[in-house]
Amino acid sequence: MGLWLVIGSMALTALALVGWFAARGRRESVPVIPEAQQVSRHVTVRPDVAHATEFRRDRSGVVNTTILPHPDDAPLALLEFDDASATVAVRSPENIIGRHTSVDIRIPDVRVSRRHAKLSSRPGGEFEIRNLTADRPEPNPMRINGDHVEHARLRDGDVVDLGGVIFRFKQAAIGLRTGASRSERHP
Amino acid sequence: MNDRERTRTISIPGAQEPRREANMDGLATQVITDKSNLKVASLKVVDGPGKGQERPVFSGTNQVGRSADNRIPLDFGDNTISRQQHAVIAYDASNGEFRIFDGGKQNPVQVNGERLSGDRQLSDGDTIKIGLTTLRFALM
Repeated sequence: MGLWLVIGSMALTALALVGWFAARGRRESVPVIPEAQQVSRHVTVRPDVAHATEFRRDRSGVVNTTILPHPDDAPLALLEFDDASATVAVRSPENIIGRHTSVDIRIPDVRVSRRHAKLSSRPGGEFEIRNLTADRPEPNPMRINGDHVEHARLRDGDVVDLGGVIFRFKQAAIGLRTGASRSERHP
Repeated sequence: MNDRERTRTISIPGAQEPRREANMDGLATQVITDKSNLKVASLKVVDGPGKGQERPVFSGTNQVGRSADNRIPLDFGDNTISRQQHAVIAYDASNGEFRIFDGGKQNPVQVNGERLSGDRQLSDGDTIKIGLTTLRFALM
């Protein structure tokens, strides 16, 4: 009788341990969302550009976007909107920024053109930005650090203004990315 | 400046129900030029902190919000209005039609007492409620 009690309690303990490990494993598989990569409802990014993007609707029905971290996929650059209340991780070498639902980085603000600018990386990892409305009779404004320009190479910390919507460009450290370091070794 | 002040959420019946996202893909970009500075309608504040004030509605696309840089600035201290693009009012000169679009912000927009979901047409005499402010829409 005593022996059965001991065996029974051992079996229960083992079951509890297995359950605990399983639960811990499940908890660990839930991705941790770092603060800096959360995107507010002011900006959305296309899932294939952000690599892994989660769309959630809040109670008012507004779609909120959260970029999930990917272990091997550090961003090429970050766009910090509105005093860092929203940050977009740029993971693609070519990105159309605009208001239309089909663009890569979408800013749903009527001051921004449907296809306003193209943000693309140059060999070596440096980015450039081009105003896509530049050849119109009345181009929609783009300013870099306060100056009206239609095309510019971007440096870390540059402030980009598209029709009044402002973001700060943050360059990822060039050479830290596997792609960039590989091209440096085999030019 | 009340421009940095956060928007206060108010309780409106049905506010928690999902709203359709307004599709603004067909809207022209809001550009401020001499041509687009034509006043085509007005919004008069009939209730709320800005009571008695009036704002013009221009031809084309008009952003409505609490910051002074909105084309229709509701900058009279109602902090239940979102700073940027709480709503958009657009005038299409080709057919003379006015439409109002929900900006998808914290507090919903109401037109003639009905909660706005997506967008709808605006007619002379319609009342628009944004936050604690009630506006009457009048053609020029």
